[in-house]
Amino acid sequence: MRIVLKHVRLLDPGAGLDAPERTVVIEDGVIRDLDAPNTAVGDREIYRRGVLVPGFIDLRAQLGEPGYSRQETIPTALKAAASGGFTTVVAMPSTLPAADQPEVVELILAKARKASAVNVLPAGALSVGREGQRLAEMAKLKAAGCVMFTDADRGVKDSQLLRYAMETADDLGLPVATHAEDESLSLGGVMHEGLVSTRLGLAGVPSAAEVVGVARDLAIAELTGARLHIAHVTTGAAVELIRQAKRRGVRVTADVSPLHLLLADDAVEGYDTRAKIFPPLRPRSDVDAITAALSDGTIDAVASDHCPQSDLDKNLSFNDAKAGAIGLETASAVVLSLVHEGRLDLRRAISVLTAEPARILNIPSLGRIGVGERADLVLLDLERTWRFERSDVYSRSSNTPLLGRTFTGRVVLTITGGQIAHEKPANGGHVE
Amino acid sequence: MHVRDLGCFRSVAVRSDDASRGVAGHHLLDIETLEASEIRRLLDRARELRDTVSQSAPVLAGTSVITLFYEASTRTRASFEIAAQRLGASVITVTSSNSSVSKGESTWDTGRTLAAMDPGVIVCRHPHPGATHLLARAVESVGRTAVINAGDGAHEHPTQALLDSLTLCDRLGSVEGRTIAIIGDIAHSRVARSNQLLLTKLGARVLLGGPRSLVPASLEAIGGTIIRDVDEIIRQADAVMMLRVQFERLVGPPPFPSLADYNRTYGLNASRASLMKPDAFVMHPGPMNRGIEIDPEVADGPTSVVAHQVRNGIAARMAVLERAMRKGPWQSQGQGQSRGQEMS
Repeated sequence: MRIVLKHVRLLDPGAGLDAPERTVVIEDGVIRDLDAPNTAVGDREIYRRGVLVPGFIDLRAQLGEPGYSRQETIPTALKAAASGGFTTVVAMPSTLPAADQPEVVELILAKARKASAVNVLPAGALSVGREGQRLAEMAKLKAAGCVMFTDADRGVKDSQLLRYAMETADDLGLPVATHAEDESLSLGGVMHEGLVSTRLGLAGVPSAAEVVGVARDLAIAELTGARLHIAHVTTGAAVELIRQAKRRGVRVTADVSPLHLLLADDAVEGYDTRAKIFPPLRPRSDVDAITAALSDGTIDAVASDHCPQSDLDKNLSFNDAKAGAIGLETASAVVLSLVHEGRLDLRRAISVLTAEPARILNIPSLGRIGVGERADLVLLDLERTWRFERSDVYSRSSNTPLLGRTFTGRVVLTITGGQIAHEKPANGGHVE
Repeated sequence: MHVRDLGCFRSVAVRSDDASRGVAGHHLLDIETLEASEIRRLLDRARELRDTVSQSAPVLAGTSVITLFYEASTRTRASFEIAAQRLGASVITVTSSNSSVSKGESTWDTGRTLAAMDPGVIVCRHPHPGATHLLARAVESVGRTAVINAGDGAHEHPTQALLDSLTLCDRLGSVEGRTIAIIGDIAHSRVARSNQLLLTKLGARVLLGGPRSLVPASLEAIGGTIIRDVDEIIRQADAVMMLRVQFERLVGPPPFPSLADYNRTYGLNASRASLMKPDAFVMHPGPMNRGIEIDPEVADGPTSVVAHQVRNGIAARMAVLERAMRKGPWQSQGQGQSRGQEMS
């Protein structure tokens, strides 16, 4: 299969590349030529206005299998990923059983390879069963293909265990990712503690729960000198702690989820369980703070936080409903909309989805465009205004507060390993 | 055919023959969205019903009122059931232990099942905030039944606030310009929220007191002013509403050192009650935890209007039930009107 893309703007901020009107040739899964004559021929020739960027890398998605196939399956999740421009997805170990054994990791990889050309990188559990009692066998997990260790959406309560986890992982050259939360402060809470929770009578999670968690995790990173990645930062106060730690030379990186960049805690009004996510949506002042931090580099990356839940688990009282929202379909759209609104520079927007996650994972071959490299590419139409409809959902679940929302900027073509994994019709879903 | 897109909720088709069956009832889910004029009408009607109760017409004859209680209740359920009977309705009592709820049926399915039987009204109490809103959406997907919130977690308890204002007006003439104190576990209290909203809408000055762990500063956004010195609140108030500590909603370690310690600082004992203005009086929505937020000599003393509150509960709920069924003074309204957003 030889694909020729004509008249595209090439943009790879990680490589310092920005070139208009290029013709790109992809063959046998790799990029053959980035500046071919526009007379180049292929099995498939694509003439579409757009910006060609490296395939996006998602640092955090729950793919559903094994154990939660009612909510999501690996094939549906990877279709969703491709529709959002993700050509690499880090699979969370929050499966059933947890990915704390090589056998589980191998199962995930085998299913992923069978389902899609989208590249799945498994994250291993930090502790056995993600129970926070004993370290998972990290060397074995690394050998099976794990690229990081995390207990996913569970914080590591035992500080000593977290210290050992960071030291062990760093010896293996891999990062630990934490969900930073003081669980005694957040106990019982179902949304952000503030004016909205008080009015609705819902038990709240104070910002301090995250701030305490981040402060502790940073202190342990500083103590061990090991690499720490903090998942889904949501508060301005936590951003400030990370900023100071980075200045001191602590080896810390952080990401943010798209919903936290877009919605504030008032999205919960009317007890809308689609907006029940963890960590919870925060007030607008925090949304602004984390957006600014993403722009200035304090926050390194955007991760989808894809967390499918079935209607059965959402069509309940707010207390009973499960937390989480799907994110693979819309993560890049949220980031591109920030560009459209002038809140994020285009180069930075592409970086936080490509070069930055590659740097966090320490996999230099990922997230860049180069001749001879694996052809993981995304074509974007930055001008396209479109409405996110149910028909745009590829996940098995459709739990997201973004249905019906209008975005500007869209993935129109996703190529992974030289294959077309997703393609939007030229005018599909276009909103005038 | 009109399809409501409920997002993650299943799409619900409201059949046109449902819409043609006539005018649907009025939900009463909260005080927050109730206009002050509507509150005044409900209070006026409650007074009329109370004063003419022996000759009140059975305007709800032929109507079924279902009380659906997912949480324990003595006075609220009995009060609603008596109110419904006095209006001629038949009453069906459903509790979580004697119903399919104990077999794992969701609130959504229970709502749809009960609404399919086409009762006039479902009166619902639920331990979770917003659960009666969920029930109302479920009911709307099937028919025209009105849902009345009889208390949803720590969110609202609208009929309690109505009966409290009825009581306050009986003693004070009007609550406008008056100072009403609410003291206790306000964070977990639906009674407090509904009263803060209602009293503020009617022009009262609301003072809030209690331990900081149970009276967070954010409560002022609902209505009222927090004063940390309870004695000072009591000195200023025309009426003092005491609330119990909602132990059933507490998680984690106790938010205060001991019950005795709480009683010492926040409890309404005889000596603290002596700080009240001469005509001021004491209210309590019940159930009371004597010896904690209120001492027996105050609860049973001459300044207590607790029994009067309970009596007023029946009249207030009669007015709410009439409104739900568009009967009595609400009869002329809504004839031929569409249901609004559900069936437009």
